[in-house]
Amino acid sequence: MSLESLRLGLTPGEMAVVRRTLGREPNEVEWCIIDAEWSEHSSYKSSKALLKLFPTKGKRVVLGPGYDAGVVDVGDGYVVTLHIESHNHPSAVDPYGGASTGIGGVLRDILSMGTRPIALIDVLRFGDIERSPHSRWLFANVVRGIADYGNCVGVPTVAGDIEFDDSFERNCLVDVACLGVGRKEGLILGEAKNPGDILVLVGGSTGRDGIRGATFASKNLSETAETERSSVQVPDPFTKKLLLDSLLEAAATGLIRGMKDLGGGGLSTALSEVASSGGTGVDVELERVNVRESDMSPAEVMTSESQERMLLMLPPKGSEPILRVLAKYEVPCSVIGKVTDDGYLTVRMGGRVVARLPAAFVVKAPLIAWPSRRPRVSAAKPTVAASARTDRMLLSLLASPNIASKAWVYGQYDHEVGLRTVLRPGQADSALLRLPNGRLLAVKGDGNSAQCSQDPYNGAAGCVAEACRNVVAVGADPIAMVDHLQFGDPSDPEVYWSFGESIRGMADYCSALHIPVVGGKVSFYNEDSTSKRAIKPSPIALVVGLVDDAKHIPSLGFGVKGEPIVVIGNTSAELGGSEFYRRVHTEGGVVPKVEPETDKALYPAVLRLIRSGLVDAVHDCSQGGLGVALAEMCSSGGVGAKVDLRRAPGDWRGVDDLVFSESHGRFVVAGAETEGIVDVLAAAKIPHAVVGAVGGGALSMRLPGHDRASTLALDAIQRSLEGTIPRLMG
Amino acid sequence: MKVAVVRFPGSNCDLDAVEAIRRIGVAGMTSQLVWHESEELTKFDAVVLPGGFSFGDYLRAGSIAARSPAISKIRRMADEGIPVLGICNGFQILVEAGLLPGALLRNSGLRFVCAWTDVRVENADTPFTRIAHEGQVLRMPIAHGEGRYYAPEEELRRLKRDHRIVFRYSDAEGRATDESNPTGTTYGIAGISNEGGNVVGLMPHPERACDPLLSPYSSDDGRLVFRSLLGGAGG
Amino acid sequence: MRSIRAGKFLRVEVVASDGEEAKRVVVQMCNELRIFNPAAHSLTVEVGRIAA
Repeated sequence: MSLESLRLGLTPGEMAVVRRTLGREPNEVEWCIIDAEWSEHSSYKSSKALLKLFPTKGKRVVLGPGYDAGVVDVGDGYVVTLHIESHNHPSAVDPYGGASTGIGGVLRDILSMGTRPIALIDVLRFGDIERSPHSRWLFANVVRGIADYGNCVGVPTVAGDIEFDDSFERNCLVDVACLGVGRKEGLILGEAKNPGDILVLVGGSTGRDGIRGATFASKNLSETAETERSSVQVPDPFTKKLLLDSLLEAAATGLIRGMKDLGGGGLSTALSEVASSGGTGVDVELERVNVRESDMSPAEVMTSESQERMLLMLPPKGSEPILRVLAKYEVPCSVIGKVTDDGYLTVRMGGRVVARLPAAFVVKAPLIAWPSRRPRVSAAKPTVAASARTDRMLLSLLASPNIASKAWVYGQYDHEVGLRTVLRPGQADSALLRLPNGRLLAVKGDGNSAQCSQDPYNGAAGCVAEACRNVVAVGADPIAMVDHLQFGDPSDPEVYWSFGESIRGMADYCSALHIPVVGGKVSFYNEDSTSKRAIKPSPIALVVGLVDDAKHIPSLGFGVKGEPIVVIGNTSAELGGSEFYRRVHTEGGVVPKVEPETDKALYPAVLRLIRSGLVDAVHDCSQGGLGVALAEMCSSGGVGAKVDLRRAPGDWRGVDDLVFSESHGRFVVAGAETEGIVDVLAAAKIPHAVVGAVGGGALSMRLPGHDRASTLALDAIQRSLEGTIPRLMG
Repeated sequence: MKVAVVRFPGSNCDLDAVEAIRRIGVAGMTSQLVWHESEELTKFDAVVLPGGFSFGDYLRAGSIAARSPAISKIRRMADEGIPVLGICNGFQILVEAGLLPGALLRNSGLRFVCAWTDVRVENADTPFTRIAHEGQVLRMPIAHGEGRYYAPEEELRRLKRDHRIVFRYSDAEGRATDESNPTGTTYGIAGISNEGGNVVGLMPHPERACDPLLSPYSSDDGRLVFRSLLGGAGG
Repeated sequence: MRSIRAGKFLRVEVVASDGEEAKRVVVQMCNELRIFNPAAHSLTVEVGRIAA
């Protein structure tokens, strides 16, 4: 057996550290264990140092990053757990299997904390579906995978965000996030704290699927990707549902001492992590593992990523109630070992020790400080003629895949199971869920790779700002965030520079707004090794917000004819990374800047408008700009509006800035009492203007430099929004 | 009126049904989750088979649950006139068990559909539609991939003749049009009953239409389906 | 292509004295256990011998 045949992902430098620290040459099983845990996907070796910039504390934070899920206090003894995962590499090769097992993975993390999963959110990126049949195939099958899995386990998918860009053609991004709810005293950690406790492996059998999946996720995709299909795990949502029901019932007994889900790296990472975080050791006998194939080697059993498996730490005596619940649901389980006090991960096969490593050493991959270099940006200013036909450009934007209605997607997701969905996909700016204590939880995930590639600092901070605006728009206070940072190869200094800038941008914004980051994920190597094409930097922000009661829930659409429409916030000349520039194939320009100091006053002011009943329609401005926001409010409400946008506040210069700029910090609201609305905004010193009123069968806009109003008929708006995705996808 | 909601391995709308009935809060009606192997099932006054993916929908939706010991108990209870309601997967189970005729096939669009629909009450004499009137339109959501009700010609004739069609998809005014049929069901059928009139299966989810807060149309029409169990004249 | 029908394929190993008996057992299984729904499906049973 040569080291080459193991195809490890470890670098020579890392292998030297291993030999030096252990003082010997590890055997094959030990190399595989270390390889799984030291993969980028499992260890965060390229990102840990920078991730320390995130603010992680807050009065509602029960557990921050470093656990299977972040935990946030939502009052009355209840907590909400949140976690985000990606399955980018598997989905690029097998979109159905990759996406469904992505859902399976994120559900397991929430379940392993002892909380019940109550909602899923999907954030997806694909290539250009207008031009690429391959991207359409990936899109159709990722959605089907998420639908089949989520629907079967009975957890509603309530929100999402989808972006199409050519840079994702060979490297699609499939991010899935999950929210859970439970009682604070019922929380269970992934720690083996008590020597003598037994280790029980529960759920699906262990097979050869997904072997070294964590290593696969930590390399660039190659042209031979088709042959890597065996690295993709096989989904089994029925087994997951049995695990969910049985483990939630078992957790209620209070007998589970620790619970850890088996994800990337399989048994290797789960065992070493529970021992290390518990300050203990573990001793396991692999012959007790329920294997699917009879001739699996110890290394294969340790690194298999077969799905639907959970590791439980149970007291050595008195676990019968747990085993009875598992038997009732016919969930296979086996006692595979015990917790020790020696600090070692000891692995046996037929009694004989086949691997023995210090647990704390296995989980501490040496950090890598990659060099970073700011890319040279072209200084050329874009020259785009001002839109002669604003109405045509606006309809074209509404019909563009990034902005068009995604009903084709979420119509395939059961978004109502669970009796908690107050605002469902497409209904408003974010989802809204009812919690057991009667409060409501808003959730939304956002990203913007076009802006991030030009200006990673503002682009990434902007994703957080956009997600915050989305939860504020339904009346919720942002209380926590998880992030997902997706980039190309970290050994490329320009990629690493944009990674660092993105973190700085998000961290600065969260610190200023006092939004703790309670968890997150990093996914590198989203790059095609043949063409060397990396994805555009794709940080994602998933924000949750809290509403105390259901008294004032605004709608997205305009409702009452005659109601005044108010534009809140400044519109500036910030077309960089905009959908407008994408449509006219222009690069460059100024990317919208976040203004945390303004937002600190803006969000409470908008919440005050909503909670005092002064406004009944609220929408934030983001992709496509003010024009798109107004059109969406007309379409959703089934009624037109007549506005004079020349009154909109800000230092915008011409009609393109005004209508299409994606400046942050803006909302459009409508409500009966102009005076009341204006008073609240003036007192908070928020720029605003009454621009017109709801009514008519068209969106009619007075614009600068145009004698006559630009008019879009309501049915033209709806056709543009609703036609694109069904037409492309069938 | 003690209502049993049966949980099979893979049921996922069982807790919803229990909770919806509890929240309706009608005096004299309680709901309880009952495991499919439990002997207690026969002690209840009404049975609900909830939605979900019992046994993973392996072989065919509802086919394995139809072999559960619960079903032989339910068959006997149905013979005695106990009201039985099959919602979504529950409807599929009743069809697979032969308690209701026909078949539930893949939606005509070949995709899962989650949407709010209107259904017209065709028969206001069942234990689940007693307080409605014929022609009344109820707004409830569907969420399924295999809900295209199919009955061969002869069976459809029998269903019509014996007034065993309980709900048909319709528009908001109660007209059963092609556009209002979301999945291509035979004759727009959304729900049917057995010969005895006490076993009803439907694809829409009444338990999801009991709280206006959870409906984009503020509908609570689903309450009617459960409250009918306590009887009373048509409204 | 004029049309396509989708179905399920089940491979059942049967111990029987001859092909006719094996086929009878499988047809009985399909009917009694409702492996197929006669309202919507047609059933075909083919028999082949495998080495003992």
